[in-house]
Amino acid sequence: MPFKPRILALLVAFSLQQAKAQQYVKDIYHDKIPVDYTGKLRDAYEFKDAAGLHLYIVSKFEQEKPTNKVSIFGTGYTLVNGAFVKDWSITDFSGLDVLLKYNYTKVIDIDRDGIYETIFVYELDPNDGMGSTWKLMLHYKNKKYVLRVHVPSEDDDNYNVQLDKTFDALPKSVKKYVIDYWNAIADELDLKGRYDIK
Amino acid sequence: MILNDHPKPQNMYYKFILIFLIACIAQKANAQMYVKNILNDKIPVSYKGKPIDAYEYQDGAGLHIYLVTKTKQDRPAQKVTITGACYTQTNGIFVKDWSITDFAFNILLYNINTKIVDIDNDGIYETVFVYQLNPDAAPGADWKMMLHYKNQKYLVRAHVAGFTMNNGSLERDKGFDTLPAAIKNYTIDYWNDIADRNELGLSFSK
Repeated sequence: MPFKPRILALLVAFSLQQAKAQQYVKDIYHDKIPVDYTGKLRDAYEFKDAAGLHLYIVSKFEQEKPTNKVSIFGTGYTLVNGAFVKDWSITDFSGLDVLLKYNYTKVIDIDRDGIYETIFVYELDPNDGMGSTWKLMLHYKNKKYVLRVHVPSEDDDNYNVQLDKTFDALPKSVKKYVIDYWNAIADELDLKGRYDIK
Repeated sequence: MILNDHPKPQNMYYKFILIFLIACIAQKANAQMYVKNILNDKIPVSYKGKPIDAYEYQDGAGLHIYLVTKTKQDRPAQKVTITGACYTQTNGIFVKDWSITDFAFNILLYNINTKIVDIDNDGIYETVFVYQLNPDAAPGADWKMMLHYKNQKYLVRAHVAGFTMNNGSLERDKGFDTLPAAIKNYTIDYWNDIADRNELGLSFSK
């Protein structure tokens, strides 16, 4: 190869690498959050993909009156014309507590289409005598897919694992990833609430 | 060799390329200290159980391996053991610098919280890892945060109360007071951050 094309090839390779590096995921929990949220911040990521610059934010709000109520808010945003616009949001609540398992949050491009999926996991009513409920939330192209698991704390209660029916409409790789991921969490935490593919 | 193909460089273009390449090499030299996650790679030391956290890292003291493994025993009683160890390459083989073992009904290592970081900028990495003993157990869970500074262990212990009428507690090894202030402060801040994010309600006052 003559010298000049070689240099060109080098530069092209270099710029390709740069283009690839434009996709990123950054934990911004300790940074200034560029959107409003209710209550206390529990999880925050900024990420960039083929669809633009996004935020994923989870916050928690504890209300004591008139009754004790703990709410969790999860929201996805995209930057449009300089302002973050909401893509999706979820709310859940409990009379006892809601714990976000931030260690299990994933911002990941499962099906390699250049657009990130988000997964977060939380537990409703932890340390309750009646057992607790775990939820794993996948957002795929701004649509919600939920895996719900009831974990009993007494012997006369049963495990119950449910997958939204809409999971069947997802690409196979995404559905499989979510089930495998949940089962890995259940194993790690010794929850025994695995989801068996029928 | 390349330049011989073109004895007369036509313009300044090539000089720029040379400068660019030299800059690249300089950056590499600077990157001699590194930390690399090797959990999914072949781990160059022998171990028992399943690797759950593994890093290779290089610093002023050489090339090191940090490895945590987990072993599950179902009989006669359920027992989970974790072993954390650190090695330094000496004459081509990895020699153990330190190791710790802990066991419980279940143990959860939070590898998202593992840090291999040069807190005091002395060219030698510190390691910090965090695990929870007996998560979701009725009497409550115990958390431990292990700092290794120059192969010496410094421990933060927290007991998070469960159903029963016991109280939460938080303590740290007295050895922390002998550490450089930067290291002690970093560790305390880091614990407080973990306590906040896991909603443990057990943090050190400063």
